[in-house]
Amino acid sequence: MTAAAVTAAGDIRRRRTWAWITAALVLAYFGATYGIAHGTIYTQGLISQAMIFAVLAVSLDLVAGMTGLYSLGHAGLFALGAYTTALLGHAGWNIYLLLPISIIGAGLVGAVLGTLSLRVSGLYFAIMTFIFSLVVTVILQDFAFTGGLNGTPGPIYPSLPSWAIFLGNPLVWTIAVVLLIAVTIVWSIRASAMYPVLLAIRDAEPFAAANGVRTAAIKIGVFALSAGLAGMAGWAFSFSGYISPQQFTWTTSVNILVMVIFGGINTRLGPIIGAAFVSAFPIVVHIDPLVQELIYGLVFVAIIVFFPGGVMGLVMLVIHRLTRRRSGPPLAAAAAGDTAPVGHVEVEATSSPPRRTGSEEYALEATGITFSYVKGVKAVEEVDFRVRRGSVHGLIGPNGSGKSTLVNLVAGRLRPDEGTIVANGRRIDRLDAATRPAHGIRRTFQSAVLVRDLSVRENVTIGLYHRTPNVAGRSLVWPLLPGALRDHREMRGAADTALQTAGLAASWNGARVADVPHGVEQLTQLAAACVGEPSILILDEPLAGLSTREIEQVSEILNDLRERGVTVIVVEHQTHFIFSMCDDVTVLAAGRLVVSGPAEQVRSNERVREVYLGQ
Amino acid sequence: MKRIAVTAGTTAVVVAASIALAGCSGGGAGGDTILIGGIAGTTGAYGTTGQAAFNGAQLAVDEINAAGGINGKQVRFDGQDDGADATKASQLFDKYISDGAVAVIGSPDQGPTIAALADQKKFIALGPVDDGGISIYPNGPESDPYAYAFSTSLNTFAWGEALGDWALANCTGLAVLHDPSGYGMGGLAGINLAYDAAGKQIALDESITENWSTGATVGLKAEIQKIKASGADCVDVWLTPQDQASFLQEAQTEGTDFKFLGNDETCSDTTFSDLAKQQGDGMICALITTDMNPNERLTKFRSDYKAKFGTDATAFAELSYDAVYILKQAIEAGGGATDPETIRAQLNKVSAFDGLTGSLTFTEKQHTTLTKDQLTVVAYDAASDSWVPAD
Amino acid sequence: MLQVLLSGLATGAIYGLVAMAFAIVFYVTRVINFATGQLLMVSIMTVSGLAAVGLPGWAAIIAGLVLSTGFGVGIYFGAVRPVLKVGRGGFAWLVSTLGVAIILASIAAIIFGPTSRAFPELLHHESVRIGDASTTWQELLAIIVAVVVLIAFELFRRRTLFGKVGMAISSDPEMASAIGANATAYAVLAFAIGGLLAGAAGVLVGPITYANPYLGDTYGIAGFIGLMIGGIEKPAAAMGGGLLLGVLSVLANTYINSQAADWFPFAVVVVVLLIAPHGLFASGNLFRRWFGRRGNVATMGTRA
Repeated sequence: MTAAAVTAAGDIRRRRTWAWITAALVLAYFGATYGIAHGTIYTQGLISQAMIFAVLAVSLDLVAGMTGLYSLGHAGLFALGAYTTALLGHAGWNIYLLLPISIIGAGLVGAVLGTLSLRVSGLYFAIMTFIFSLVVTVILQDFAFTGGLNGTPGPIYPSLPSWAIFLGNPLVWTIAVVLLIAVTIVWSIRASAMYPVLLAIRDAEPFAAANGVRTAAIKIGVFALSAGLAGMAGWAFSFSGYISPQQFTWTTSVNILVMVIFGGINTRLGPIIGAAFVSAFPIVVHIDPLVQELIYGLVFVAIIVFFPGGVMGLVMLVIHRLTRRRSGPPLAAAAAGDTAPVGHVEVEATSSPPRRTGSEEYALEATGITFSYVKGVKAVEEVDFRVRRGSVHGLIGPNGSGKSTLVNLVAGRLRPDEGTIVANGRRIDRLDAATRPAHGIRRTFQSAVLVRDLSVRENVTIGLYHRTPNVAGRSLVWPLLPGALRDHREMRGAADTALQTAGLAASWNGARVADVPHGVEQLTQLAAACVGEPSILILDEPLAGLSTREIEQVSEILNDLRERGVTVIVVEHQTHFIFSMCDDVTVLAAGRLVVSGPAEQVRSNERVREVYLGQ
Repeated sequence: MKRIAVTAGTTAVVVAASIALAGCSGGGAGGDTILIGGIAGTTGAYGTTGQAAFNGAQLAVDEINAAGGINGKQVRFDGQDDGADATKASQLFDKYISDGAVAVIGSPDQGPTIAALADQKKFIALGPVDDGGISIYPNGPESDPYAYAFSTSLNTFAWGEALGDWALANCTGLAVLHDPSGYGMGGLAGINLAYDAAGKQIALDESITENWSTGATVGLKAEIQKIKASGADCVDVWLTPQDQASFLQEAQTEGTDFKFLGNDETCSDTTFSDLAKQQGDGMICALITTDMNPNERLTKFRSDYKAKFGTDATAFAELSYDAVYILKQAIEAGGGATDPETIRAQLNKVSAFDGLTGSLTFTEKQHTTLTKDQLTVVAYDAASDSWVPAD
Repeated sequence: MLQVLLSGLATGAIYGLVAMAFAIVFYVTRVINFATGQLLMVSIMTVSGLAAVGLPGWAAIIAGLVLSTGFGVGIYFGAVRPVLKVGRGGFAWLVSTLGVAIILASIAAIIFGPTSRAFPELLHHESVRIGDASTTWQELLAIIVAVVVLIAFELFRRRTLFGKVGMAISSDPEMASAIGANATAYAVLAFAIGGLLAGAAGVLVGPITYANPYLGDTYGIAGFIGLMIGGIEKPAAAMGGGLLLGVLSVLANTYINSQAADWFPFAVVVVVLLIAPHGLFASGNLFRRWFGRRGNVATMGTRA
């Protein structure tokens, strides 16, 4: 494929350019470090402080900005690192040994906090981490071994061996390296295939789970990583001379979050800019301290009110204005009349779908399914649902009949009270949603569930998360791994192919989901489900809100899937579509099975007409 | 976005580099100026204390310069606000070291931090170093002080001992209510110095966490019950002036008839008396004796201070003033040498220095100038709104 | 024991009023106003300042309450509304209300100086004996005000049209505005009431703590913890949480040791959050735990 080769060559060239730029930046960074390491003690103290807070801010952006876990507990994790190093350092432990200890210790505590996030969400999680900060402060203040209110002196940083004296202050170099490590890890994750997954966990958890993302494990893992980074910052901070509980209070936690939001949440440079501003402000703005506080408060309010995207938001706005030729042609073309800019589809539309009567093997067998949301009211009652392999199977019923509940049960979002579900020969009713892709099951959702901040293509790559080895682990150093970069390229290529198969014009691929019309979003969902090459595909009201042209599109896709032997289950209200498209149909009403069988039989069934079509 | 990352990133690095370079040319001490640094909280709840400390030092420096400086060199005093924050205090400490200062005056609210840093970095801190007490003698009054910290300040040991002596003479039992910080523990240690010497014990030792910036402390009432139960008839409320006023209020609405004692802060400014008013009548405190009968020099100091700064001088201004003059003496005695080692050696030899706060002495073992001997126990007289010698 | 209860309730009444101020604002706008504690401080400082220049007590109090209410509304328009317009997700309002808190504390410190100032005694000088416990009229007043506010709010919420619309806005703002409820008016009302309650708390606690520009932090945190204990979703629960916090603090001080007030409330909060993350008094929380079903309930709302 010449096209692929061309992209690959272009990619290599781009990668090389980026490698040079990165190398240049790192060199400049160390050059600046050299300068600072030879500067005045005062400047060193100031910049070291700012750097340490930059590490904290960047680590918080990882959990708050990317994963949506707003933590007000990072000061506590910071304190853990600092106090562990200070106290054990004084007891004679090697300070370099204390680095991994601080990281792992803080990381473990972070993992525990992360598990809290599974129980409560959003604001409540923030509050719990806030309480954690308060608890840590109380522990630091009230016990003698931590030095109590007065605090404790930190360990002294060892000096350099004589041959390295030319470098200057070793602590400055260490802190610079610490910041570089933190930034590398977080920026790598941002550039990796993990990034869309994290945003999905943040904004569209059901979608992530349906694509095999183990959201609980990842949340805990990410939080533990962030905590480890905070612990590392604490280790470095302990060498500043003297640490006391007042440096690690809830206000510090809030300050870190403020740095992130002020600088621009979920951006590369935002947290660093925020940290620099908050650290440098009291020193740079040097007037009457009370007036200075006042101005500090005013700046916060002003920036956030006028630029909710923070400083980086402001910067982006300015750059956007300066480079005006950014209005997207795809969207302009879309706005011009054609509501469904569906491109050329490679599959031939057949006039009547071949009805398969052959295969008696069941891809999916659900037996005796009963489920209640609330005690006493059965949403689904003793339903048997069998789907023949390779068929297109429709699931219909009036509102409240239990269709979507049944779908959610099969897809793993709910667990049946009674009954079993067997898919491809394996029992799955006790397993949760994230295991479905491993069993070859993929699904779409009724309402919009994609990640709005990401592009169409990036959303589809989430569908490939499950099939790509070790995305999470490799994400920490993603740009440095040629294998990862190649995998990423392939993921994007496969996503583009899937989108093309779904009938979307290629010009949509880079557009943000927030900016695309509903029809495009639905087709994107479909592409995301198909890119994982499922053996069983569940579509939950895929036609809702689609235009006629788009519905035709979906028909073609379903026929194509049937050709390839994929089992498809379609939940729909549009009965014309169901009866023309499906081989078999199951009808539910009031949670019970009415009838299930070949489409023609079901259509002419008396009870069905009565219950459903008659209305 | 990537474009932005590059441009912004490069800019950031350039900025960092320029800060680094700019930092190299920091304002420092030239060969012809002697720089004295100052670290104190001039904002926040104890802002007036810090400001007074700076003012006193500045007045001394101006006088010295007018009289020809130290060994012919002009002196510069540079005081910065530490906002009662340990991080800022230690940053400022580093700043003065790199600026080439000879010593640091302060800090009245970050004493433990500054004293420990002074020791660690072998740099002189003197004057209003917190409450003296435990800041200077981290292991208690019987052991050695920090080698590089010299306090001319009000300190908990002196006040504690003076008040303890009064309690021994006037109370059947003393309860001590204090906070667990170095300040509170120092007060307790001071009181115990008096009681141990007399072979007696205090009736009750209650440690209570107080919110010392606002004085909004919970649970003072519960303490009243405990004190009653201990049988003590006197209570030393070693808390902030706001909390002392609060406590007196609570105790009096309870209808108790305790005698109340305070600490060095109670009578060092008008916060307590303004808040407690009539209820504070009879409160026991201690003042520096020289303050009560100001000699000519002190009177001149006070009028010069008022003329220059527009407010009344307090003890913190006086002791800062004394600190600067002691430093001058130490430098001159060392032949003009300004390195920390020489200054330290000379400071340890200061004997019977005639200061505004009394006759001041430093030795290897004694790094606080004020002891109970320089104090007079006083009581608050609400009618005249003044502190008069107690019997 | 009665003494502990009385002292605790008096302390808790203040916490509860602040907690309610937080909760009412949260109820309608889903925002936590970090400057609520400062509104308490605004009223205390105003009363202290005006009394010092000779204004009679009642006039100073009215001025204090007017100012705290006014500032509350001002915070809505200046720092919250513009931020909410952009998007309801995210925590930008955290930064802006925090900024306002810093601004208010700084202005107060600039005007009044950073140390404590005298506050009119009001009802605090006369003690009252109930059984073998003693308290003052001021403290009793605090408890009475807290109870009255609680009852008044509940009546308001349930019985009046305003209250019911408020509930609607709270649960579904978009729907509510679709049916014509003026979300802005309700937000303004919420912030105003929040400011009024915080201001009232200030007037009630002033004689005990005197007037200090940094009181906002102290009572803000305490009120917030009370809010956590009781439940963030309902203002009535918040009041309960505040009262409980007050009683627990004094209990801890009396029966454990005098430093227990530090950590005991936190231990309580941690336990509460672990067993009942939405607060002790949140709807049916404890009941659901014991009698309800286990297992995940679908969060997608796609019921057939």
